[in-house]
Amino acid sequence: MNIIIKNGRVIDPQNGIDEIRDIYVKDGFFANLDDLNGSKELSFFDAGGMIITPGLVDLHVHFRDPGLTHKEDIETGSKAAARGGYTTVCPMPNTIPVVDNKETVELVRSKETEFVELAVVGALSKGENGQELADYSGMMEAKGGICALSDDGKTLMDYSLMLEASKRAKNYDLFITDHAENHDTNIGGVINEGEVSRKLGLVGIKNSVESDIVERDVKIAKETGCHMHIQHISAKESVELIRKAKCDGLPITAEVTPHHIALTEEAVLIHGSNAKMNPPLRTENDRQAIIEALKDGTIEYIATDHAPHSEEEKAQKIEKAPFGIVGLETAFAVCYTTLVKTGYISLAELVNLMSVNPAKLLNINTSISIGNVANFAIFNIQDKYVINSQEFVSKGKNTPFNGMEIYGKTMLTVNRGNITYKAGAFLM
Amino acid sequence: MELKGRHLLEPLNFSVAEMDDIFELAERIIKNPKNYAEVCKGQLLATLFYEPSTRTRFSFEAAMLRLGGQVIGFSEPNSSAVAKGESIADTIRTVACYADIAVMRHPKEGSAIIASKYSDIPVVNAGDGGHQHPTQTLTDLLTIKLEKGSFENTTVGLCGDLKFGRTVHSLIRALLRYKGVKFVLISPEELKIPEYVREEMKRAGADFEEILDLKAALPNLDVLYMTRVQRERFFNEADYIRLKDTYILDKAKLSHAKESLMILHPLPRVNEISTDVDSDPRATYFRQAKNGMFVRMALIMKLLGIE
Repeated sequence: MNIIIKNGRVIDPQNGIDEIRDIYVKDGFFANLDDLNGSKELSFFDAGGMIITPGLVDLHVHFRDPGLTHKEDIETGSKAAARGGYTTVCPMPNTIPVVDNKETVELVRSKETEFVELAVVGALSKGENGQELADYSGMMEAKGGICALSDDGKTLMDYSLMLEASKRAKNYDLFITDHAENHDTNIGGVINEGEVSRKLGLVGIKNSVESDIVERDVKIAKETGCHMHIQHISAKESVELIRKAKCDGLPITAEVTPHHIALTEEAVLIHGSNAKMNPPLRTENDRQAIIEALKDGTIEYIATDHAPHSEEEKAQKIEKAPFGIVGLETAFAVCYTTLVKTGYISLAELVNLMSVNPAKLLNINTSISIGNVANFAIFNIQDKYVINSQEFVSKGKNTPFNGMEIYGKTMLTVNRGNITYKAGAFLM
Repeated sequence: MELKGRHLLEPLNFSVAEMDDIFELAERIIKNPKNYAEVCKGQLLATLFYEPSTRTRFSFEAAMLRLGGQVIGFSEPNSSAVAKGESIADTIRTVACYADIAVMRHPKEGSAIIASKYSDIPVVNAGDGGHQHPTQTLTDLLTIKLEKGSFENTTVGLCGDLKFGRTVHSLIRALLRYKGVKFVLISPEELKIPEYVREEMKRAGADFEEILDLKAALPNLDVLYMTRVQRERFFNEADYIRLKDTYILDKAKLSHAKESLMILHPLPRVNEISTDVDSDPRATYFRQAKNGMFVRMALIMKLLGIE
C-alpha cells in the first residue's frame, strides 16, 4: 500500500527539520510524490495540526512471552507498541524460559509481528540465576541475534562475574542494560522510602539501593570499557553519578521512564498498586533532578519499562501485588504533556529521547528521508484526550495514568510502510 | 578411534585412552627428538590468531618446525575481518586449501567450533574467549604424568582465581576421569570454584575440600597449580589488598610443603609466585612450558595421522 500524508508538521531532528511537509510512502519506503504515479491502492491522510515523528524506539519492554502470556504476549504487546507510535522495541529476557540461549532467542524472534520490530535482549547469566554466564556466542549466532544483555530485576550482583560478563559483552559489541538494584540492601521494599511509605506503614526502598549499583557499573565501565546502560533511573544520586561518569568520558548511559518523569511517590496514595513499580516513584526532588538531566543530556533515552500484569495480580494488597506498570500506549502523550507542553524541552528534543537516540544505540536509522524505510508516527498535540485503560490493546491495564487529561494522542503508526495503528477518528 | 583428521576443540574431546596415546608419543619425542625432526616435512601448519597470544603461538610454531614442517598464519587481529561469524567460516575454508592443520585463537567463545564446521583439515582450539584452551590441559596433564608417573592417589591443590580460570576448570574435569585424585581448592571467597564444577566433582564422587588459606593447605599437596588473583576482580581495592598476599607463593610458605611437591602455573606469571621460588627444584612451571611444546608436537602428529 502507498500512503500520502498531507499538511503534517514533520519533526525530524536528524535532518534538522521542523516544518509542515507532505510525506509519501511507496512500497515500504519514503518516496517523492512522482513515485506514486499510477498507484492503485493509495491511502490519504490529512495531518493538519498534527505532528509527524520518526517511529519511536523503546529500549525496555516486557512482553512476557514465552511463559507468562496471561499478562501479555508478543502479539498484544506489539499491537500496544504500535498504538503508542513505536516501530522498534527491546523485549527483556525475563520470560519462562529465560532468553539465555540460541533456541529461545529464535523462539522469540519467530513470534515477531508486522506491528513492531523486536530487538531482543539476552540474559547476562543462565536462567538469570547470577551463577554462570549465559551463552553469548550462541545468542549472537541466533537468527536476528540480540542487541544487548540484562539480568532484568534480578541484577547480576556478583561483582567479579559482572566484570567478566562486561568483558565478553565488549568482545561482541553488546551493551549491558542493567536494572540497578542492590539486592543486598533492599529487603522487601514496596515503595520509595519516604513520607508516603511511613504514612502507609510500608517497607521503603532507599535511593541508595539504586545508586550503589550505578556506582558499581560506573566502575565496571571504567575497568573494561564496556558500554553500561542504566535502566529506568529514578534517584537524584544516580543522576549525579552518571553525569560525572559521562564527564569523565566513560561509556555509560541511562534511560528514564515516563512515570518517573511525570509522577512522584504521592501517586501511590491515589493509585495504590497501579503506582507500584521497581524502582519506585520517588520525590519531587528526584523528579526535578531527572528533568534537569534530560535537559542537559545526562539522560539520553526515554524507555517505558512496559510491565503488564493481570488485573487479579494487581488487585492484591500493595505489599503482594507485583511491581510494574504498562507504558507503551501512554508514553508519548505523558512525556509530551509533562516535558514539552510545560516548556522544559522542545519537541525535537523529545523526539531525540524517544526515537533518534535509542535508534542510534540499536544501530537503526529512523530519519524521515527519501529512500529510508518508512517508520513514523503521527500524534495530535492540539486536542486534549482522556486516557482510558480499558481501551488499551495490551493485556495489561495497570496504569496510574488512567483518567488523566492529556495531549499527544497517537493517530497513526506506520512500520515498514504498513499502517500498524490508526486511531478510529482519523479519517482517510 | 583414530585421531587422524579429528579436531581438538574442548579439553575432553579425546578419550582417556586417546590422551594416553598422545602422552605416550610425547614421551618418546622427549626421549629422542631427533627421530621426529623430519616427520612433518612438506606439511603446513596455519596459525590463525585473531587476538595476540605470543606464548601459545610460539609453542605451536616451534612444535611444527621441530617436526620438520612449515608454518603460515597471522597473529594480529584485523578488526574488519574479525567482526562477523561468517568471516571465520570463509577464512577457515580458504586456509584449508593451503594448509594441512590449523590452530586458531579467537576472543569469542565458540569460534573454534564454528571454524571446525567449515574445515576439511583438523582445527585445534588455542583459546576462545573465556571458554576453552584444550592444549593447556594436555600440557598440564602430561607434566603431572611425567613427574609423578600416574595421577592416582595424588592430592592436587588449585590456588587463586578458581572462578574464572578456565585452565583450572578444564584440568579438574580432565583429572576427574582418573581414579583417586584428591582436590584442594584454595581461593578467596569471591573467587571460589563455580557451582557447576563443584557439582561435577560431587557427581564424580571426587574427594575435595575448599579452603581459604594457601599456607594451611600446602603440607598435604603433591601438586600445586597456581593462578593469579587479579586486582580488578574485586569491587573494593581494600579487599584485594587484604587478600593478595595470602595467595602468593614464596620461599617461606614453601618451607611447609612436601619435598616432592610440584608447582605448576599456566604462565604468564606476574607476582603470584615469588621469583625466589624459581630456583627450587619443586618449581616445575618452566619445564611445564617446555612440555607444552612436546605435547603439541605429539598432537600435530596424531591429527595428521603420522605414526
